[in-house]
Amino acid sequence: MQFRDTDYYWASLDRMRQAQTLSKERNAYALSMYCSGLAVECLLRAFRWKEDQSFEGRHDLKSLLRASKILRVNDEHMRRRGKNEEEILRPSREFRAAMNEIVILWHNNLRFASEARLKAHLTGLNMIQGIKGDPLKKKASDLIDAAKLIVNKGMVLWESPKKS
Amino acid sequence: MGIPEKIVGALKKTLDAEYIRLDDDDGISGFVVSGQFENMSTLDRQQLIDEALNPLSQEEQRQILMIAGLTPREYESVGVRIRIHEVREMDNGSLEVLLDGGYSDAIYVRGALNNQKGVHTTEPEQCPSAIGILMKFHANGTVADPLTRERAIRVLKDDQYIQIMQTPNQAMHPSGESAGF
Repeated sequence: MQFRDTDYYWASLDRMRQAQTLSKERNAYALSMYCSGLAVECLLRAFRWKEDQSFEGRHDLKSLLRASKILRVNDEHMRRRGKNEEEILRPSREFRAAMNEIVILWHNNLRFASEARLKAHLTGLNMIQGIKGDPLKKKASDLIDAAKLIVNKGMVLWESPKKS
Repeated sequence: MGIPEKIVGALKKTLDAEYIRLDDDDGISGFVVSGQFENMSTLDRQQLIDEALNPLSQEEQRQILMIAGLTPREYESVGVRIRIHEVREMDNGSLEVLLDGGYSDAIYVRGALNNQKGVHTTEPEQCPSAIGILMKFHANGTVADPLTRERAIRVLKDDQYIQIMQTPNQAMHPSGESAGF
């Protein structure tokens, strides 16, 4: 199968919805976290495709983020809307914080992780100590929130050229 | 001084950074690893990074795409170590260190050797004919305490952010990927 920008874009929205369903309705947190990151990967691939149509086989979100140019697209979008640098800073920081969260919590190998293996991994990273309630549920929720912020921003940017 | 060097200086000064890795490819992106990020939200981390980079001009800041803030433990899980391609003995008694990576990586490796008593290193420079970003610098010790290739490799192997790609008796994992997850 070959994929182009629109395929990646719609897959991103699908994976995002599925990530939320897996967490909220199935308590499948490891898979939900995997799906959340995958939604972001699909989105970055959609934007990258506009810049470079060669296939990138790695699942390195940091490289895809750079290649997608989405951060620049976002800043330019806000400048076009008349926002000054101060007004751009906060949403830009939130976007980067969300990516920072994903860089920490998501890895392509999550698809191989059982709930127990994921919990051990997060414990090793000192990420779930002190969390009240189900720590995996909390971390899945954190990752979903971060992915949603990026995918939602991506939706706005994806649609914006058509409006201008 | 280029923008990556300014970023490294600003982050080191403010964040007590253990390790900084930057890629300069149509914009600057990378990691800063610091114990200060422990128990800190990613939004607070980004705010701290923004504040650290405040001394840079607005134009310079616009060149920065994203610098992720990681704790040392998080970096162990997600990070890729600096790959030392080769440590060569030169005719003049110095060592030539070749590494895959950019300027910030070379500065980090150089710093690891400079921490050794009597060791002096040269300013890193790019290898023009190399594929990818390959940096090199020279290092030497004193007459009384020379920096041998074995000693340099031992020092570099002991550093958690550095990976030696090949030593005479040991082939390293070629991917450079962390085995964490």
